[in-house]
Amino acid sequence: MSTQISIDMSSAIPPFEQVRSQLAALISAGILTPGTRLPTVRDLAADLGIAVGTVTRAYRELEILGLVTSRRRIGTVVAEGAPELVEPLKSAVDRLIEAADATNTPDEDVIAIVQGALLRRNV
Amino acid sequence: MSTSLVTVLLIVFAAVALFTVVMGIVLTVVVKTDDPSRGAKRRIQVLYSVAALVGLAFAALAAYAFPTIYVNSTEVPGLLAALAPLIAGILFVDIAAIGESFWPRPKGQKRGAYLTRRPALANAGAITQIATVVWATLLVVSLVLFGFIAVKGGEASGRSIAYVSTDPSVSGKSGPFPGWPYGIPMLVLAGVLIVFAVAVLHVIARRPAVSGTTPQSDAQLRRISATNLLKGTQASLAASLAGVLLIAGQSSANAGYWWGTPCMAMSLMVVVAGIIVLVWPSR
Repeated sequence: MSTQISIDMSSAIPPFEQVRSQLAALISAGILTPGTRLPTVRDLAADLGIAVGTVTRAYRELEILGLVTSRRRIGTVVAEGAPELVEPLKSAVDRLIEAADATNTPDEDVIAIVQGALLRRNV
Repeated sequence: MSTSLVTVLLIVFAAVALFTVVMGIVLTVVVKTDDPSRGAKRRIQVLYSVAALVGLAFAALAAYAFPTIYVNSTEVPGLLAALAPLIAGILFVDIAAIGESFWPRPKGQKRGAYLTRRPALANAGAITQIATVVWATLLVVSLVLFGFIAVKGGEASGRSIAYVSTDPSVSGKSGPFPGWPYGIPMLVLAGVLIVFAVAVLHVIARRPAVSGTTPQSDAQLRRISATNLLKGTQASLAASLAGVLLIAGQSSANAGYWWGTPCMAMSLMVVVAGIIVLVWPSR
């Protein structure tokens, strides 16, 4: 497994949320499959140069969402039955990304468009 | 504690402190390069060269002073000389521990990390692992064996071996011999050395990944560190084992035991094998 996550310390989004959202996205996209062992809290914190508590909080929130399970000895693993993108949604997301690439729309704008559409639906 | 022993301890601590400061300065000043993997390799080279230098400096000092000036500074004559290779090994591992504990943390606003799961202990090269286990096992076995063989009772209890003789009117002892007075402190220090080495292997496995490297090259860097660590550890154990075999071989050969000369030959073989493992290039 050589999947990478990154954090931006200058971002307004707190580091724990950046870690949580990227891991959640990787699990939802099926890149991190059920049973995949995540790095230990200390290792990930050391590699990112952030506090251990920050990663602990991100892992705990993923556990509450049912995306990962934490056990002694085994550590944190991607949970069986973690929600994945179902087929019609997956192809729609693929088409959205293709359209964004074709129009050179930055990733942040694509996320803002989707968030805007979700807000409009809920109004 | 005698004055001469205190002198030795002061020299050891002064040497460690001096070299630690030098190491810190060298590591922060020298290691600057655009290629993160190359920079990390150079850092590892500097760290283990300094650690080896400290160990060798102490071993050289001990080889000169312990069997002569400080031979009677302990209750058991020559005990410091017997312990010197293991003390040198512990110094080497301590310096490595300091350097590995202060591995640079990621800096900058944007930081990345691979989601790789690292083992509890860093993997060293197979040859160094095997050598460390073999020397440690042989050292323990030989010290326990010689502990039981040594003469019990009398002034030189545990420090000599009885003459082989079929004639009951002929008796005598040959020494020095590595019985329990030498064996127990050596077993304790060998245990300390091994525990420290395992702890440093854990530190190497836990240190932050080098920014800008792939998981493969990061694993390779950890392997180089672990291999260097075990090279020094096995050298210390090999030197101790060779010393024990040589002293035991000489005394037992003088006392007429058939296994005295093979013991001395084995001592030489251990030295040669230890040096080969030490100079074998890390991959």
